[in-house]
Amino acid sequence: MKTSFLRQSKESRARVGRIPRAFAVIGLLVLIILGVNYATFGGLSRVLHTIGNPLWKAQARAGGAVDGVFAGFKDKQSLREENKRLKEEIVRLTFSSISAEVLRHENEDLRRLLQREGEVERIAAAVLARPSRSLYDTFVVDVGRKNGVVMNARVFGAGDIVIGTVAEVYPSTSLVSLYSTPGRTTEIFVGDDSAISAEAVGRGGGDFEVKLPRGVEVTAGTPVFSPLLQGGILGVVEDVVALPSNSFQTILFSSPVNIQSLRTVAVELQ
Amino acid sequence: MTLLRIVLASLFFSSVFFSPWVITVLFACMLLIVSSGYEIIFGGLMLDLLYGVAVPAYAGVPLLFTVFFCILFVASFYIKKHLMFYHNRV
Repeated sequence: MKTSFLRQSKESRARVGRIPRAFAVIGLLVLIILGVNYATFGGLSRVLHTIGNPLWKAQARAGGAVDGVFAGFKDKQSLREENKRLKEEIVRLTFSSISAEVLRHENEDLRRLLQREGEVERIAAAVLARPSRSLYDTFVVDVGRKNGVVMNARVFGAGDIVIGTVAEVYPSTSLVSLYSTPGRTTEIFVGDDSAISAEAVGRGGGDFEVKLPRGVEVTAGTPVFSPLLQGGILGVVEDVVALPSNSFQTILFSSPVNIQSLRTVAVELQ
Repeated sequence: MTLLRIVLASLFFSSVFFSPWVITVLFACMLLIVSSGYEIIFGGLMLDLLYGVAVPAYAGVPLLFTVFFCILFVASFYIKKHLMFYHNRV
């Protein structure tokens, strides 16, 4: 009889049921690699970052050169996109100038009150690998331990817009974890004058979610701040979802900077 | 087939450094189609060691890609055993 499926011998059927030796060998190798990385306090990660650093820099240079070649041949579509981007930039800058003034006054008052005057020192860093490289919502910057970067240092996207913290520090590079990392919780203040304290949960890609009682009035465009001293702006409220059946409303807010298009950031030095 | 595997493996490992993760997953699937593709597990490890942090949404374990590629590898092994195309090849 003609069959359209694969006939399996008893031997091959028995083989399917068994765990092949290759799995055990690969599993053991993976465990050894992870064990070595753990025992050397991230030694393998450090090696990979050392290999990746010149590769990422070469890629950035190549990308820049390609951009330069095609700069003179901008078509209608790219001009339209640039126009859109510039309009977004104007909105962002307008918002930034208003909130910067509010923050400046607040900071001056607080620092005077706490006798903690002085500016936070920052170092400019180029983004080597963007968050799209993985599902972790992390990116790699070209400053590390040699430049004075420490763990948990805050990272600013533009001006006072804070986007994340340093999760790992290597000799010449650092891994930055965004506040918007899925499931990560961050203390925030919503609003300018009568700010409400809440806890934001990251949704990835620069987006956040906050649950507040329905009675609290929050509108689109309301700024969201970090409660830390000189904490900076975390985002702007995009949408408010309030269902009549729910006693809580969901505030959706996003970082004012486009995380995916960031080329440079500022890392706080402590 | 060996040459194709070498080319795909090179593209796969390069994509860990240069491309978005979806491209890496795409190359991993292609590697699994043309070979046993155990390399993808080490690619997953590289992704986790390079970019991994403890993400609460992923149970706080920075081994997302290693686990994912292990599952892909094991699943492909058993799927291939039931496909005529791979008969006498695996």
